[in-house]
Amino acid sequence: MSEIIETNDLQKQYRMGDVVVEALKGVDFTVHEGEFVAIMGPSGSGKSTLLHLLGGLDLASGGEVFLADRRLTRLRDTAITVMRRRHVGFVFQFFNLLPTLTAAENVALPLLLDGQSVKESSARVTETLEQVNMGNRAGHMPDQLSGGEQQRVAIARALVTDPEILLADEPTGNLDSSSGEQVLVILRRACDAAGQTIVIVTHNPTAAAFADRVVFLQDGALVHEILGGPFDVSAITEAIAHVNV
Amino acid sequence: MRTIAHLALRELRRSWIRNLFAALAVGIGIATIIASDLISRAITEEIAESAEGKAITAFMSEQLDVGLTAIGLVITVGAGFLIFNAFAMSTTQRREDFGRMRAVGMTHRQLLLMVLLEAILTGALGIVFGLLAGVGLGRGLMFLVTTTSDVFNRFGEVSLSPDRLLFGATVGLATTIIAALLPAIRASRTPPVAAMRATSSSGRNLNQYRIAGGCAILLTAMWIFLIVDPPGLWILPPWSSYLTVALIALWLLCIGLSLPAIVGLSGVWLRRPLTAILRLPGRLAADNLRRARARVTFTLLTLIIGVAMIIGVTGYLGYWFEELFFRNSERSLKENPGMGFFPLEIDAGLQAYEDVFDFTLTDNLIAEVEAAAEGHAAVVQGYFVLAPELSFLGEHYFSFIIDPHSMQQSGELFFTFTYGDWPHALEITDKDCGLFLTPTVAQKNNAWLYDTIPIQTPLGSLDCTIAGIGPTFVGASIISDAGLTAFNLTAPVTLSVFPHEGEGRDEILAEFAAIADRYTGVWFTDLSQVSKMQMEAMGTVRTMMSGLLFLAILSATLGVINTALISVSERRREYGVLRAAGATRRQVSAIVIVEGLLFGLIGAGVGIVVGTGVVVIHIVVSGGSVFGYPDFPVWEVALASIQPALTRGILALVVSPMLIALASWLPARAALRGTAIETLGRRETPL
Repeated sequence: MSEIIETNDLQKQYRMGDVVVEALKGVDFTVHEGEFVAIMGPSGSGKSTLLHLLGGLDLASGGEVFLADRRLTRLRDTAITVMRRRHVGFVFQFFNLLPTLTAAENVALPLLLDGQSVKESSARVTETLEQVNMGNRAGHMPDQLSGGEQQRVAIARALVTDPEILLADEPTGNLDSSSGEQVLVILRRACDAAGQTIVIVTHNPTAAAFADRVVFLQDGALVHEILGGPFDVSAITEAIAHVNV
Repeated sequence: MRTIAHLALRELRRSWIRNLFAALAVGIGIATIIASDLISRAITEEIAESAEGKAITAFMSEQLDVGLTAIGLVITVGAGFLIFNAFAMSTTQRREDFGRMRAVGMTHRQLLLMVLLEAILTGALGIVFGLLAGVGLGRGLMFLVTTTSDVFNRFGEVSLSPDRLLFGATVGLATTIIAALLPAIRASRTPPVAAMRATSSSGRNLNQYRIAGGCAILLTAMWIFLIVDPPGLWILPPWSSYLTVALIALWLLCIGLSLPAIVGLSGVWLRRPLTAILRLPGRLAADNLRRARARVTFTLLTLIIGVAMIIGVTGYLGYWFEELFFRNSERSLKENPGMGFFPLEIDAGLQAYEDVFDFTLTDNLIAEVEAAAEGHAAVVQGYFVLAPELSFLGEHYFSFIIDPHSMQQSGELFFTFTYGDWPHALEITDKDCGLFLTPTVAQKNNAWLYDTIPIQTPLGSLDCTIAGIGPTFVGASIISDAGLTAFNLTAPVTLSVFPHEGEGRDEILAEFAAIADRYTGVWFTDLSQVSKMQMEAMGTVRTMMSGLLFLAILSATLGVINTALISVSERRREYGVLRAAGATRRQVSAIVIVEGLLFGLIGAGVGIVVGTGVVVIHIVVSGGSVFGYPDFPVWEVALASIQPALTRGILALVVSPMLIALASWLPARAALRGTAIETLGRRETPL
């Protein structure tokens, strides 16, 4: 399998008040096509920052990010945006659906932003909503949906452009265990059936157990990884204990 | 209490732009109220030293004071809406903060106090600004008017009135507190769990459409009634006033209640054309309009009030000055052109009053004029008095004392009967004191034809009977000559001469001009000149009011910018989501701009409709009843009066969308400047 995501010496620094925080300290990280990777680590270890940099949501302070053979750090904002729209899907912990749009309209958003008409996009939107078992809730507004349902709509939105890469930041962090499992099953299926590359950030060993590989981040650096997933949850727990994160 | 004050101050500092705009809007209203008092008092004080002088000039002062204060109050009320908007939006935004405060032990009352304190401090800042700016505005306007007006070309030196300062401060503070009360109460009811729950809104409410439907039926019925049977043609005071107020209230209430539905329907109707023209930004903007009706309605309110106020005031001024005030005098002067003797050069404006202490004409002049007029012309001796009961506008509008017999001979310049007739009127005035009033003044005294009104005079109360009701010269009440003794008057201020039919007007004019030349300080002129001077004075009043309307526009603009700023900051996360979903900065900016244009178009459009409606209802319902004009062409006048206002409305329709689009786009541009994740709301600063 070829590499679809690669970072070289990736660095990110923030200023928080008077303090400069080094969120990432030169991370070298690779993800292969069709791979399901979970990133774990304690709060403040830089997991979400890494994910944001991989998807071009944020700009690196140093180093390189390659996404599907394109050097992200060299692209202009519009090019990054168009690339994100067409090749990357994003799922957030708090769903981030637009409250004024229906589930179907939220899902259609990336296609419409890409210039498709509503008519052109409708078949694909319906198909994607069916894929996450939300076909019967297409006309509902976000506040009429449960947390799990909202997250499935968010996943449908991320999948609607059939992106090579799907990045998810704590996708089960705001859900009950049953809804969380449904979400993870969908992500796993996207990886297995459609060959999509999945990278998730999670605190949850159960979620990480769905991945092919789990990498551990601490204080802005990769400290450990385990291969050969999907895993037993106990394997993840042991790894966490091993790296003491 | 200290902690509450500290928290309120912190919030004020955090949202200083929003609060500064709100304070400025309040300040503009108060400044107008202060300035109107300064200007109006500067006309009478020092200039008119004698009682007659005060009687003559007080009406200008009164008109200015009433007109400008009204504008000031309207601006302040507009500022109240701005504060309501700003606090309503801000408290919605800060719901989670309030939840946190409640969670750590803040009581409902403390929360209410904190929000009200923020409003009071904002209002206080506005009051200080208003009091200071009011002096500058008053003096600036007086300077401007003296250099441009032929009538208001001299003002006296006056100092600030403590009463007016107190009034301005009270109005400002009361408006601020009332405006912020509802949002503050809503904030105080925030449960502690709100800190953990994000607010959301689907924007669906079928009731809004039902209410709008009901309102549409009511308003259609109202307009059909006004077209088929205009009340202005048959209604009498005080019912004309009651019906006007009731129908205007119905109009405003219905439009207000229908506003969310109007916004929603605009979104539905505009969706297809906007999508066709602008693709996704157009579609999303139209959808947002429909689905975020509550927020959009809040944003639009300030603009609608501003535009409606401009249309309403301009239309009303047009009705008052162009159609109502001089309607009879213009016509009667054309039919029977008179001429007059005056103790000062009226043409010179307020300058003429300088160093003039005696405003009466001498007995010799009167005798000579009456002798010359014998058999050729009617002579009317005119006296000016201030009788608050008979004041047409406020308390200081002058009244005439005229001998009714000479008035009858002079034609219709001074008075025309709408109710009553000369035989009955003269029967009254030959025996006792009689009055010739407009319906407005009669109504003010709760009296009608042949009722008796006690008039306070320097020599005590004088009972006068209403001998006639109808239009009077420039709205001034007329007391029969029985009032002369009671008001302690010995010589008239004016002598008006009306040549009999068939007499050579030019010869008479030359003869009287020669008489006037023999008396120093006596000015003789065609009465149309006096009418022209009155019109010029009214024109200046109108210009000043229009000038102050500019402040109303400024206040509305501040409101629009403020709500746009709050709206953008409220929707920052939404822009972030769009960016994360693949929208370029340009696409998000396009959505913001299209939304701004739509807001402006709808706001200005609804504002024009509201303002036009208010003016038309007022004219069609009240008609000429203020003056008592019979057969007043209500619809013709209504349409003529609203035309200049509509020109301004069209300007608002062009400027408002651009203004709101700009006001929304600038902060949105700043919000979109960072990366998508920064727009989504992360607070750290990247290095």
